[in-house]
Order: sequence, then structure tokens, then C-alpha cells
Amino acid sequence: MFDQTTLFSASTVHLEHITTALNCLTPFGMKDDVLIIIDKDGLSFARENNRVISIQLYLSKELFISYNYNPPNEDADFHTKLCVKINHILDGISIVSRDKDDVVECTLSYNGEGTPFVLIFEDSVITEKVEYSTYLVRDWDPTGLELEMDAITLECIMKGDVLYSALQDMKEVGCKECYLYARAAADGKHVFALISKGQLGLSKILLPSERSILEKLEVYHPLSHERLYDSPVIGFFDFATFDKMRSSAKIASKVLLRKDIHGLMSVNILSQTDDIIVSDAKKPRAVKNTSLPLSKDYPGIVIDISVLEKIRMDEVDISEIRFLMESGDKSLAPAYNPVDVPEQRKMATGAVALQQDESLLFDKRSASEGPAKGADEEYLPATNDIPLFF
Amino acid sequence: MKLKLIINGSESPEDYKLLRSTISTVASLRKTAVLRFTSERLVIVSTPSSSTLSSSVLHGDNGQLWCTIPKDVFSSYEVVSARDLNTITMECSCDVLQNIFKKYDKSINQGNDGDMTIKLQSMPEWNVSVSSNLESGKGTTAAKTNPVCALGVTFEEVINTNMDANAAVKAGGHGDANATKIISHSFKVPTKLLFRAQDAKIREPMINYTQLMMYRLPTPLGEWGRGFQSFIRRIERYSNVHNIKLSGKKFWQDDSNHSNDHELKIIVNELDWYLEICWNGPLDAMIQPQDRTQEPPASPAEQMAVDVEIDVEETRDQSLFIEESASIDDSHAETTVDANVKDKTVDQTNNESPSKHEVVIRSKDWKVCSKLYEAFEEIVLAISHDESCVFHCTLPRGNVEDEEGEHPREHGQVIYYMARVRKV
Repeated sequence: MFDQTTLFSASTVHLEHITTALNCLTPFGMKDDVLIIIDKDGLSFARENNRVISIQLYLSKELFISYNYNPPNEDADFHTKLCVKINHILDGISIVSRDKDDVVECTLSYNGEGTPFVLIFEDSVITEKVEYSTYLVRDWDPTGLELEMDAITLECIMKGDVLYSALQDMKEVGCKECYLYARAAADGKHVFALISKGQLGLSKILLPSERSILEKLEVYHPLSHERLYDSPVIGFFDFATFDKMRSSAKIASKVLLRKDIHGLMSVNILSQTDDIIVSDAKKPRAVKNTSLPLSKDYPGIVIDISVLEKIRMDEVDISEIRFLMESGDKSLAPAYNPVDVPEQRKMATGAVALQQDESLLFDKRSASEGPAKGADEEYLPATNDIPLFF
Repeated sequence: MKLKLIINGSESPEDYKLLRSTISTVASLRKTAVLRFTSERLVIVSTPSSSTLSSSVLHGDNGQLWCTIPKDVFSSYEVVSARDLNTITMECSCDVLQNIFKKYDKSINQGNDGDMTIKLQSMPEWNVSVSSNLESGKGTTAAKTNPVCALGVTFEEVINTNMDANAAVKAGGHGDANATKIISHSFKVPTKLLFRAQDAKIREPMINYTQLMMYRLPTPLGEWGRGFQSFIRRIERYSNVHNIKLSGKKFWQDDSNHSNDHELKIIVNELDWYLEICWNGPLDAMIQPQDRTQEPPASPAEQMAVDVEIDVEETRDQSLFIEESASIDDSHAETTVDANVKDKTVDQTNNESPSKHEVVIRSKDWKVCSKLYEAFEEIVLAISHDESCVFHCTLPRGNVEDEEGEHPREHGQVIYYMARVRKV
């Protein structure tokens, strides 16, 4: 349909896949402009919110049946930028009501400044053409949202679905601010936790440390780059911002988290095509995907998200988090033991052997409760036995 | 005045479905509808003027739905009144009616085969309250208040009461465990009877045939039905679309690079985006009236067009043309001019090549069309250039044999008249 003089044109039949990918952009502003960068390797969609969080999503050219980009010069790094509203593109791409036995082919094209971004959908009986004006180009300015590779303090690889369910849980408990806590252990029992801070107080979600889920967790000294053990890295984020990565995590097969000394966290998400086909297989329309397999070279959807920490935490916050994380560990000496959740748990389990130092803290009350509890424990089996004889 | 109808949902499911889907379509448009019973058929009308009864001029943002249900849909049909053709016209709430049909549906689906009886019942006690309210409120014109009657709808539902053994023992030990019980459902739907003058005001709109394009759309169950269905519904995925432009275009012989002679498009032209959905499948089209001589006058759609023409000739009632509310004076004048210099206009359109018929309608109205498309068999879309659009659905109901031989039964039909929203 397009001759070789068109700046850019590409066609694809994998509309569901692209819809899935572009849906990851919606938390970053449904009705806002997204910057599309076209180069010889594919398309990338970029968006940045208030210099706090940015997302870049790559769709490789292997996703397209044909991909023509004719830059005006031979420079391999040459690229073209344009701005379109996210909801416009999504409305167009997501063809829901369609003949399930028919294949819809979509052609995207753009012919440089002043021309609209055009999507053409064709099946055997319908031709649909939609043109979106590309008036302004808000340029990509990643200042402050680029990871400093020489000052990385944390690097961690995990399964995407685990991160997604952790984020989902945090949203459900009404999280307002969240902490990230990561600690490497020499014996391989790493700790990775997300801690929610909201109206309910603090609650921690500890991710399983099995290798199959938490593939890698390494903590480095920011200057010497030596690996550190038992020295936690703590990050503090505004949850509303942090949560924007949830829809991306939903489709992720693997997530690479990196954090540098300046408080920037970079999240690289890889969504393998296999996963899409598997997850879509529950729906009847997935037949389309299997009958038209993607090219073997297709790397999957690649998403890069950068989030900046909220503020520097003060010592009180850090010690609070440390306490919350370390209180569960048996190895720690119970030197500091305020009235808290773990405290009550110990009482509830009803051990007669209440620790000596606790009775020092709660002198009279625990002293009176201790024996009473002990007495209860003694009687309980008897009372339980009684009904059997009647 | 007497009205008694019986319909049976399990014995004639097709007929029942016609009545049922008509009621639900009408209910999806407005809260009330006008039911006009005559000795031949029941006509259900959803019209904006039915509640106000002030003017029969269509406003720009209001469509009219006219549904015809032939009397043989009902297994018994008795209508007696003093008016011509035994006409009884009333207005009632669609929701109430629809809920009753839902209950009846449920009963039919559970294997019941009872008749549904619809009767007109006088309700003197309701009228007392209405008139006294009015008198106390305004103190005038109690005589002008429409009498309120009830449409009494009844049907019976047979249920099996499978009492368990314990319950049977408790109940006295005798009596069989498999008792059947009959539940008799009875509803009274308040309806407002319309006076003769009010009834006369509710008249089917006419379309300006001077620049009319008609398409017989692919049958929904046919080869192209699913394709056309998705063509109609493609627009729905775009959020924030309020108006759409329907555009029909005829290509003349020299434009031979088109596979079809005709092209049907849905166009959205917004400030920062533009959409065009084009149907590439077969399209059975005719331009009225200038091309009529070239086409065999066989199709029912054609006949409809002729009917429309006769109506216009006979009545020349300008007030019934579909008009735009925003500029009533303007368009009114235009229409009058149109009719006066009709021959001239026809000449002009003949000279205009390639002929293009476009109208801007609300996307909400188009959504109603997509629902109608699913429920009927023969559908004609008529576009009157820059004035109105008509979606005409018919449901053939087989043939019937009597002493005069075999002839087709009267079709069930739904016609949706949509006025333009604004100028093209």
C-alpha cells in the first residue's frame, strides 16, 4: 500500500499483543501524549511523569510482517519522533467486536512532520482508516531518571508474577507510601520485601527467597563495588507512583531491579511472547495467536521504568524498617522489645516460659498474667476431655 | 371499547420473539411508548412527542421508532372501538411491560406453555385520583385529562412441588410427593388512553425522497452478515464519539478501479483525529428516485420508496418532515422550497456526479441500529442527504394458506427514523 518513499510504515496482525503492551502505558496518563520514537529496529513508546517516573516500551520490528523505515540519511542511529494520545492509539488498536475467523491486518504509517499518524485496519470486508494529528512533539528528557551504572547498590532479578501479586496486595491494604527492603545473605537466603505504610500501619510482604523466584539478589558497596552481605538496601517510594508499574508487572515474565546511590530505581521488564500466548489461551480468541505464530527472533515486549525515591529517609524511619524486617529473625537478640505485633504473638502462643527481660519491662502486668496463663494451659486438656464422657 | 389479545411464547416462539424484541428495543429508547391497536395490527411507536403531544415536528436530537406487529402474531386478537379501524391508542411505561415479558420468558424457559393474555381494563378508582389531583393543582380542565386504564396481563405458571419425604410425612402422610401447583401471575400496567386528536397527531415521519439513497444491507444470517455486523459495531470501540457521518457514494462507470459501484462509509471528523470505516463487501443499492427507471421495481424496499412518494404527493404536510431543532426556521424554509421546486432539484442532483449521500447522526442512534440489525432478517438503510436516515428492518413470517391460495403473512417490521444532528 505504501511505496518506498514513505518515511515509516509497518503492518502487523498481532493486535492483541500490541494492545496488551500499550495497556502498560495507561497508568502514566490515559489521555496524555505519548512519545513514539521510530528507528530501524522498532518502535518505542516513552512517557515521563513529573520527572519522578518514566516508562519506555519497546516493540521490536520482528512483531511486524513488514517494517519499512526510510530515514533521509544513512545514519544508523537516526530516529523519528512524534506525539500521539495514548487513549487514541489504544482505542484504535483494540478491535474487540470483530469476526473471529477473520484476520485483521493493521498498517501503521507516518510520513514526517506535519502529517498524521495513520492506522489502517483491513480484513476481508472492512477497511478502516484512522488518522491522528501529531501537532506537538514533547521531547524526551530523561535527566535525573537515568541510572548511574557506576553507583549501583542493588541488583535483583525476579519472576514478574510475584512482583505483580505483591503490588496488588499492597494496593488492597490501602498503601500510601512503600519501602523496599533488600538484603543479600552469604548462604543464599536473600531477603526481598515490600513494606506498605498506610492507615493500617506497616505491613510487610516478603517475597519467597527460592532461586526459582528470586533468581539473583546482590548488594554492592556504592564506591568499592564489592558485594556486601547482611547489609540492607532500603528504598522509600510514593505508592501512587510506584504502583504505575503494576500493569507492566502483570505481563512480565522476568523483572530486573536495579537501584543506584542517588535513589533511582530502574525496573527492566521482559515479557516473553510465550507468556502472552499462554495467558491468552484461556480466552477463545487465542486461536488466532497460535495459528499465526510470531517470528522466532521476536524478543518480547521490553519495558524500562525508572522511579525516583520520594525523599531521603531519616534515621527513625530506617530503624523502624530495620526493626520490622529483623524482628522476625530468631538470630537477633531481643534487646529492644516494645509493645508490638511480635510481642503479642509470643504471648498468644502461650509459652509458660515468658522471658525474663520481658517481665522486667512489663513488671506487674506480665507477672500477673504469666501464672494465670500457665494455669489455663494446665486446665485446658481436662476441660476438653470432659464432654467425651457425657 | 374492548381489547383482548392472547400470545403463546412456546407454541409460536418466532412470533413471540418479534413482540418481545420490539418491546425491549422501544424500552431502550424512551421511558414510554405509544401502543396503537387497529383491527389489522399493533403499532408500537416511540416518539418524543408522545408525552408532550405538542408538536409533530421532529427535533434534531430525537429519533422515532415505528414497529409493526401484525395481528396474526397473536393467537387471538380482538379489538373493538368506535374509531376508524377499531383504533385504540394508549401510552404506557415500557419498563413495566418489559419486566412482565421477562417474567413470562422465565416461565417459558422452564418448560411452561401457558398463554399470555393482555386485556384492557377500566380503572375508575385511578381516574378519580388523577382528576382530583389535577383539579386541586390547577383547578381547571379536568375534562382534558386522559383517562387512565390498565392493561391487564395474565399468565399461568405450573410448578412441580417436589416435597421431600420428611415434609410429606409432616404434612400428614397422605398426598403424593409430586404435586403440581399453578401460580397465576396477574399484572396491571397503567396506560393513558389517547384522544382521537392526540392519536391523529402521531404520524409516521416521511423522508425527503429527492435525494435519497437506499441500501439493502446484507442479511444478518447470510454469508456477509457477520462481516456487516462488525462493520456496524467497529465504531463502538472509540470512546468519546458523539456524532458519526454516514456516507454513501456511487461511482460512475469511468471509476472502474472500484470493485463495487457503491461505497458505504462511517466517518468521524474530530478536531485532532479522523476516522473512516469503509464497507467493502456487497451492497445492494438504489438511488431514489432518479435511478428508479433503471432498476426492476421488485424489492420491498423499492415499494416502500414508492409509498413514501405517494404519501408526500398526497399530503404535502411539511410539518412531518424531519427537521433540525436548532435551526427550525431555516430548514423549514429550505424544505418548503425543496418541495416547491422539486423537479428542479431532481434535475440538479442528476447533474451532480458522483452522487453522494451523507447525513450526520448520533452514535447512540447508530448503536440502536446495531441491536436491531441482530434481531431482524431484511434490513434497508436509507440516507436522505443532509436530512435524515432511516433504518428499516423487516421480519418475514412465512406463508399462510387460505381460500384465496397461498400468500405471505404480513411482515413484522421496525423502522427507526433518525433526524440529522447537524449539517454535513
